[in-house]
Amino acid sequence: MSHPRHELDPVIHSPARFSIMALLSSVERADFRFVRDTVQVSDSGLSQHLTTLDKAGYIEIRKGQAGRRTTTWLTATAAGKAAFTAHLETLNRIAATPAPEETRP
Amino acid sequence: MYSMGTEEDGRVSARAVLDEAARVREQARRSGRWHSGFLAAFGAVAIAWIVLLESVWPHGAARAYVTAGGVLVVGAANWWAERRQVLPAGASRRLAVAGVAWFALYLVAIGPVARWKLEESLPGWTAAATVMALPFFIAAWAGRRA
Repeated sequence: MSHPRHELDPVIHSPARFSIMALLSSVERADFRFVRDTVQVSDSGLSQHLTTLDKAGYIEIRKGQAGRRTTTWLTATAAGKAAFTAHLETLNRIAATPAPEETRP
Repeated sequence: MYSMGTEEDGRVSARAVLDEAARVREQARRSGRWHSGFLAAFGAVAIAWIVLLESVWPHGAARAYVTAGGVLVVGAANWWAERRQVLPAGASRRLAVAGVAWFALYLVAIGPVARWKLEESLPGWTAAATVMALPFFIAAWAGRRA
């Protein structure tokens, strides 16, 4: 039987992208600046991660105009939410695996 | 992040990653709390608007001003909401369902009956408007629980 770690999604596996997906999968949409501040990455770093997630079809990036200010809205797609849920389930299984000494009689 | 090292490393780092997910989600949840208050305020404004329209100034130019004022308030609320950094999960759906339910109650169900039976009674219209605004308060409560 293969170890659950082989089921981890390589796109979401990166720490920053994991946090971005954790955030976006729990909201309808979030502003670029809010994601940047919550995940604690730079503007350019976040842009790179968003491009990767966008190419994988996990998020949608939409520009909006709020008065004179341009806002970049980020939304997790259905595919992105499903991938994140699967990734999270795999992590839960790994975290719940009993340590070797716990399994001994 | 999740370590590919030993089994124990894997378990420890998986737990750390799950903790990080919980932290980020909690922060997002807290930042989205404004929407429940927004829906409740919408309900309160809807009560005031109907009472003014149907009981306080039900005739003439004042009625038109109240109608226009309602449109302006909704526009301003939408403008303000667009400036929030986080829209919580299901927020648009909750607002749309509450809005349609309120509109249907006002236009088809309670509104015509209240106009017929209560005429311009202030307590009567206050009670009717409160019942009609219930979808907003229910949506606010549902958003708070989500």
